[in-house]
Amino acid sequence: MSGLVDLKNGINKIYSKYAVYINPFMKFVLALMVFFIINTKMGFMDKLNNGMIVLMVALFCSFMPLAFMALLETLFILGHFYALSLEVTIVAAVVLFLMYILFVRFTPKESVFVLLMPVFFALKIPYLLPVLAGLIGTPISVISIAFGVVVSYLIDWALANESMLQSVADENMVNRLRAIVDAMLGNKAMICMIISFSIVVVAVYTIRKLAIKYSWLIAIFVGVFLDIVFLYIFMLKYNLDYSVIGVMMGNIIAALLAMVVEFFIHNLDYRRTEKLQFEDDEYYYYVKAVPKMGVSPATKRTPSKTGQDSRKDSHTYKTANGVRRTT
Amino acid sequence: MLDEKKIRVMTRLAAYEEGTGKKYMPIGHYFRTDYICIQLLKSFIYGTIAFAMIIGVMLFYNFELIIGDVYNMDLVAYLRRYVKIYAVCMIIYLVITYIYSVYRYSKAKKSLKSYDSVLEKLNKQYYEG
Repeated sequence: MSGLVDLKNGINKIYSKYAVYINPFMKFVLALMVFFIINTKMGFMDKLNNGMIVLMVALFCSFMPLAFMALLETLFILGHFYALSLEVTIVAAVVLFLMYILFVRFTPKESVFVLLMPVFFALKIPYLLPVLAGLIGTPISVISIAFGVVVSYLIDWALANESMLQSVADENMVNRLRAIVDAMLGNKAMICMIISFSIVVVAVYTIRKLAIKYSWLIAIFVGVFLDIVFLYIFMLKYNLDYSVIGVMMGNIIAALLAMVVEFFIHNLDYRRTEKLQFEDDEYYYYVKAVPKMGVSPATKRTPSKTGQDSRKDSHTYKTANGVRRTT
Repeated sequence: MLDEKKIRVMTRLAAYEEGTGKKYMPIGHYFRTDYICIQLLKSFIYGTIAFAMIIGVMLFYNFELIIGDVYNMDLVAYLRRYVKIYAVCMIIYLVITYIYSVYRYSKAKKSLKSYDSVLEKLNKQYYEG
């Protein structure tokens, strides 16, 4: 364990030293991955399948905010849909436009979940996103996760019905549009997945906020457990075509990846937990101080009213309003 | 000569302006009611566009039905129904916008208050120095 903690500290040190270069590079890699997967999966428009365009767009994304990457991905998806059929483009554009003007304008960062959902669907691990949303986001992420699932299912449906959408005989535009809307609104697999993911987001968020030992780990395990249980229940009840092994394995991989995330952003040493009480003129404080893993128990302590506390061995610490101070 | 104290304070201010401040500083330029009114107005416009889009897709979806039945339909009753749905949706959306704007404004003000206190500190240092 101490080896892993050392590795983490080493990575953190390197990251903080070269963050100026690492951040754009990571964005570049993410953009490259996202656009490559979208092109591989959809690939209807030849112009967008060009490797040079993907490379240029990824380079451009490397120094732009993530919300901008989400916008470009939206345009890529719409471009591919347009090459396939105008009707799917209209439905996708309406769904995405509604999402942007009604929801994302309040919380632009949430668009990242919509951006990543089709990618994680392609990688067969969409189960990771609701767990991550619960760990690092808020329950409001339910909306972006839901939009992400809708977009992913729309892509899957378009791929499965490619020939119908491209045929011109016997079908007119209104009929095709009706078929798409019917397929989306009546898609029980999609609706059940949205319900299941929403439960996971709320459950993970609620549990990780609890002042209990290993709250984040418990939240991850309860989250994936609930996901598996609900998806299986829906599968049996509505005879859905989820893969039994896929759901199980996807959730296990999601749990493992979520644990990696947990290790990097919330790795506490509960064996050295201390409970203390003190008071000032206005409050009585019941403080539970949990040191971060790999940190010596001596030195600085920063109490807070919320009951959570952490100790750090360095001379830099954060005040209650988030300002970094050096002593 | 370099004043380390001033540099430290100015670095902190610059870090805030580049980070959290980017999000909150534009909000700080408004009075509370102005900010909330602008957000409500934006939501009204966006909400209306969104509703119009949904109605557009619905009309397109039922295109054949409507064309075939347009002379027998009670258009006034239809219109009244949709106006009611529009009103309910807009009220819900505007209430959510109001709650969110109030929350965001108070958060921005709180954040800017601590920024102002650091700014004040820097100002004092200039007078002292």
